[in-house]
Amino acid sequence: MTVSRARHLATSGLLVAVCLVAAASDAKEGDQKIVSRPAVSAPRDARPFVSFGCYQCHGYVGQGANSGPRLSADMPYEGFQQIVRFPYGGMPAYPRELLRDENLRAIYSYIKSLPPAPELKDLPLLYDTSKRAGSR
Amino acid sequence: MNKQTPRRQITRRSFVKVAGTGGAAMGALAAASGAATKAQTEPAPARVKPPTQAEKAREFAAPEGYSEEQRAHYFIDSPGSDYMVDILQKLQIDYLAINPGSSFRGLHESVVNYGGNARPEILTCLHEEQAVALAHGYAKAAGKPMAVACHGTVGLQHAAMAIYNAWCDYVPVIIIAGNDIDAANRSGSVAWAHSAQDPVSIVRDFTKWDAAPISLEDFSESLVRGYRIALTPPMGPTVLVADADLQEGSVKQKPPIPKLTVLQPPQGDLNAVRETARLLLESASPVIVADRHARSQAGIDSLVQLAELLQASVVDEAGRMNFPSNHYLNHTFAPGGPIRSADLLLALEVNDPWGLLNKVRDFADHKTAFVGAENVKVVTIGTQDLFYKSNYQNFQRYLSTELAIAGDSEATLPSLIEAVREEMTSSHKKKIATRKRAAMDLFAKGRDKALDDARYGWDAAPVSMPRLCMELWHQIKNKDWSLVSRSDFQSSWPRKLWDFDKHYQYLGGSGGAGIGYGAPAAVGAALAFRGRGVLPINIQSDGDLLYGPTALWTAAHHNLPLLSVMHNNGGYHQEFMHLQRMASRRRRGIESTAKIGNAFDEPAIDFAAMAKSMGVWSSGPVSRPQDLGPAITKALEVVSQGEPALIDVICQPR
Repeated sequence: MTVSRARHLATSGLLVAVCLVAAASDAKEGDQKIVSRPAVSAPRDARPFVSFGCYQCHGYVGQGANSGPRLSADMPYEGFQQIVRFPYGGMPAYPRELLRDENLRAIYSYIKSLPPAPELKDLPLLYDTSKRAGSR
Repeated sequence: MNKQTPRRQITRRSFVKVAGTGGAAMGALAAASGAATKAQTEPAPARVKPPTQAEKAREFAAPEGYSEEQRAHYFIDSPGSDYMVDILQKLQIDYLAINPGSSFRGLHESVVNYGGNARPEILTCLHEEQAVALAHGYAKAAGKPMAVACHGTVGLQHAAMAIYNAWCDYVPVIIIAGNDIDAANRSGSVAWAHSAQDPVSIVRDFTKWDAAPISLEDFSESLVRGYRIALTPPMGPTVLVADADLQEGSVKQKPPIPKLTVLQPPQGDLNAVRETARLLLESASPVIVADRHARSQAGIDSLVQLAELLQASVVDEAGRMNFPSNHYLNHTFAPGGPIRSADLLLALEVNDPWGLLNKVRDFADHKTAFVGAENVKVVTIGTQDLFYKSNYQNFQRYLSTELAIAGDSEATLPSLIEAVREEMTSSHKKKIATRKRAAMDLFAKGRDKALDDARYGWDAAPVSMPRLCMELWHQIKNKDWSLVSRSDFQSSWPRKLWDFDKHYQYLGGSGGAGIGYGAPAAVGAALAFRGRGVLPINIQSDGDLLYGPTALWTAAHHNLPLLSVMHNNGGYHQEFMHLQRMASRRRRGIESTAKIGNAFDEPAIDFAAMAKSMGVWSSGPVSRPQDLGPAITKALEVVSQGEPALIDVICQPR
């Protein structure tokens, strides 16, 4: 029998959970159906990042995928805005009528708030691979 | 595994004995229900002596108490479908995947009772699409085809997408389609609904060959021929109609079964091969691109030889396992990509050579961009050009090339290597030697980038793809394993970071991008690997599984060890992105509407419960990355006992 679960996402040990999906906020213990997607936690509100679909190509924490590159926290807002409004590569465009400035700023703030990735030496599952590289 | 059922001769005496047993069981029930009085007062029947061998033989040949007319009405001796099983056995077809159908009931019965359900053994599938996809995955893992039987009408309709995938992927599948061509013999309205004048017509555009024989002699030749055609490169599915009257009618004298002679894969023209060798030696930056090149380990080994001889970059398009992932010349994931700067491209069984050098941008104006170097030369070696059909467009766009060599690339490479060696001068050797250092640096850059990228989102929930893949790798790397799923939807992380060097370790994808291939193909591969000590690993896309979750039941029913780890991202994610792109292009409705029609997360589907309902051990959903390792350990214990296992993991989209 399925039970609903309250789901909390932690990025590098962060504690605050922000519910993204309306159904998730309706989940109660003892509900028969499983609550949908887990919530994303971050210091800044992730909702615009998800509701405007950024996560689809770039991942929930902007980590990147073959559908979209990793999002850098180093870019100034002006450059970020330019790329979103007039993208290059395969990314579709997001003009103001689709994505207002205040939402774009919220998305930018969210990306800036993401914590740095752990060091390779602290990740044994990856570090072990680095020692094998080019072994043939 | 189903045990071989000994052939049984049903005699009247044994029928009465069985009925008597059933009657006694029913008598026991009657007693329990309170109707015992009558049974207790009647005298016990006299004991019946078992028949002698001579009596049994007489009864089988001429059942006692039946007139000639009655015998002809009730019984058939030596049905045609027994002979069909003889042919399947002679072709050494080990398995027959079916979803049962009355139009091939004769064949079905012959397989289980005449053939003893052994070579071929029946694989019970709960949808014809899965039966064909299972055969597709099996063929790639086993290196030989299996057969599928289905209704010629509704069965082929169900199976169509899977047949299309096998066609696009150039994989042999032998399909036997039941039909009832003689209208006068169809008993009942269903037989009419399940009959057609030309049942194969709905799949003819994506099969290599088909036949509808009306004699057993023709059936025999057609099945042997169809098997051979399926295995002739470019390989692909073939269909043979097994008419119900042929199956169920009696055969007095079985025709001889023709000997199968498999064609040797064609090699490329030697002059063209020699010219290719010269072009490769003259080029400054040759790149070899391999797609469905390696049919066996020999294909990998010869490509390694050629690449090292030339110090040429290799890009693996991964239609098959073509080149070791940890080889310094594997530049598939090198930053920038070597293809853009290549002055010579050698494309080995590449499905879309045009797409290597050109991109049609998915924007409103559909601009095409050329992404290669100016004056790049292209040489193609492959069998695709030997066989085309025109309706379905999987053949891709036409590319003008320097040379187009019609030949199987694995079969052709040894002569190309020999030609390169013969044409190579000391000046060539000197030039080639300078490439090695740069090649090693380029590989290292690609590997470093992958490792760097993998760190991001490492501890995130939903679980990141690098995290999922490396948790798996950590526990399987010292085992004999195979990744039986395509890794594109996981952003190719296994191919970037695992150590692939054996041909069976990667099987490629569906071919036609028909979703629903993954789960049954993984089951087919698991079948091929059973008993060989190879651990099949299936990173299972959630949307794919939902097209045919009953593939899990087939795995459980046939005791197939298979580890499936769900890539549960709650929707048809590719279509999320497509809808997002459309909304952007039309400047409307972008916020939150991409989920409509694409998501299946409200309510979320409990894949662990689904698997359990099919008899598959399962755990999850796992939503925290730190819980993955222990879950994988437990699941692997189950698989090591010879059973399938599934872990549901809530994952990042890609």
